[in-house]
Amino acid sequence: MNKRHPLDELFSQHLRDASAPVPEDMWSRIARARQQKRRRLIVVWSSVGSATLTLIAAILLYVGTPNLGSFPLQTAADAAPSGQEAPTAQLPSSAPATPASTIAAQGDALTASGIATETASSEIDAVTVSEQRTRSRNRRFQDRLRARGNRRALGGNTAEPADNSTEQIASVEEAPEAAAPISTPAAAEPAPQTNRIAGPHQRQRIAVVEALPEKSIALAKQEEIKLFANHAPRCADFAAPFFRLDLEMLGGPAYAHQTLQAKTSESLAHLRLRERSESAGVSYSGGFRLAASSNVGLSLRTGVMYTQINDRFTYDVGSRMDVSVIFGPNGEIVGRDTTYSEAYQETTRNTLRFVEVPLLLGYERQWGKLRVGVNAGAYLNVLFATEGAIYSPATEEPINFGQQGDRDVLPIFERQVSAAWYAGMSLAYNLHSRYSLIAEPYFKTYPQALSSSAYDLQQNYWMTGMQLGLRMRL
Amino acid sequence: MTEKELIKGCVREDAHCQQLLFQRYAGKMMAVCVRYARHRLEAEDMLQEAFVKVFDNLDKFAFKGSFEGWIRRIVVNTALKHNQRKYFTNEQIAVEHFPDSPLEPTAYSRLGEEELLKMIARLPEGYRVVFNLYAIEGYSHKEIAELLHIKESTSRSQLVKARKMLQQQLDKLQRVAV
Repeated sequence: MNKRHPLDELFSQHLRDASAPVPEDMWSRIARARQQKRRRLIVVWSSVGSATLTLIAAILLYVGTPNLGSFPLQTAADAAPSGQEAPTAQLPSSAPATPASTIAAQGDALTASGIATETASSEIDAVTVSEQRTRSRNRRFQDRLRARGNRRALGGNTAEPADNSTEQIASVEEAPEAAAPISTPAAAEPAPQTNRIAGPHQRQRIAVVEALPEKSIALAKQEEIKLFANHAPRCADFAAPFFRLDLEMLGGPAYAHQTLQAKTSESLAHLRLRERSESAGVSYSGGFRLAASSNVGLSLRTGVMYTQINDRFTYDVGSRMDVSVIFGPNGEIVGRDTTYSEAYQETTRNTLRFVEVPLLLGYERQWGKLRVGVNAGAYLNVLFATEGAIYSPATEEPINFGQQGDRDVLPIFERQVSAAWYAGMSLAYNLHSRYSLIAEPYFKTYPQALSSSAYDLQQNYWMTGMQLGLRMRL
Repeated sequence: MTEKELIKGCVREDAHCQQLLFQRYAGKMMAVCVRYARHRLEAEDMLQEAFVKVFDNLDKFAFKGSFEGWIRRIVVNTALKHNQRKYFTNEQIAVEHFPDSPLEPTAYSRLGEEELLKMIARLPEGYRVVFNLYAIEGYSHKEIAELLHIKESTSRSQLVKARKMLQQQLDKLQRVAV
């Protein structure tokens, strides 16, 4: 039994397998559209790839920055602050390493630097440090270790290692003569890198380790890391890194120019109406950029930038009736004043918001405190949002616009826009070794229309502005 | 060349096969687009977009069921998506007063495709889409509701209103003919 409505049947019979003439150039249009889509994909993927590579390079560079904490040998006079104990030298690599290994077993990796030996002190003796003071320091340290060993023995767990360490420390103390030939200036010279002086951080570290109970050794280690990070004198292993990394915080006003183009002659009236009713407002842009600059002046920049384009929409409003109530002296209503105003105009703000990832290639030169550079590249759009109103092409009444897929609005814009091209000149004035003030006039253009393909007009933008901010060397 | 060979050629990005496939189905699919579009230019845009999708997704066709049905589904979905992007217009047309006169299909059997297409084109967008999907493509109200993100009851009422408007147009045609 055929349950179909006869009207449905009629249309279905005639139209289901109907054919319609296809424009001759349709095949070439499809081929072109596919080619463009492929190209767009290549651009997007290569941009994502280069952004990832830049990010990885930045992380690697950041992680691989100078290995701090090892600084060259200084004389005790330089290293020791007046009124404090003279710093002690670490044992040369060939010297007995037993104290270090023993104390490392107790959770101390760097304690060796805090132990003054006769061997090391004999080397520095010739300059400033007296053997007497070194010996007394060793004795105090030995006593402390012995006390710790005793405490452990009372605990009944690890008395043996404590005893060993005591013996080993003692053996070091007793063998200055044996070690003396090794520590002669001539012998020490070939390996100057191993000669290190205990820094303030190391002395503090010892204090921390001794003050804390056994079970908190791990905590002491953490504390040591903090001490090291906070107080260690810094000295780079290499002087001139190939790249320098900068963090830039930028923001500033801009002018955005809207260009409208009619797709068909039928939409010319709508185009004129929009051109007449819309004007540019003050737009702005700002965000963060990470810049990696090489020694030869080339630089790569990426980050996150926010741009807001503001336009004004002025529309005619029909007559308006304003009613104001007139109150008497006792608060009673004595009358109403009604004012009729004929057609007048109102203005609202239309906004286009973009969150973008810049991928810029640049070249920079330094002149004294001034660093001048040019940057150019793409701003990849990750988020696009619109809000506002225009005259409706159908009714010529104001109507809210939106993007594809939005409901209850006129979806004149694409959901996502592609990249924008950017070119700018950066001027940076160095305020401090790490901080610079920057000013960057720029020009940016959106080569593809932001408007939807279904909309009768093609809407493009270009913008120019000035970004001001701070550059911080990482 | 069989359909299967043609499809495999297209998957290999053989331009000749792609063109042959396009020529084989373009006319029918254009007719589908015309039914959903407001005007011819929009129908062309829909067809172009749909065929780009067809060629991009051809490797996903599993040779189960009709290939024409598969393409038609892509075209219909593309047209619906296209419609969602279009102008927001609250087309409020009072159809309640239209007479619900009984239809005599035989009286209109001589109507040509062009007249019928024009009648569909005159329908408000919501009615047009629901009528196309239900009466011509054969979708159920449940499927239409899912596709258009509307309630099943809305789909039903849109269909009833579309039929009423079409009926009125047919009556007018009949009066002119008489």
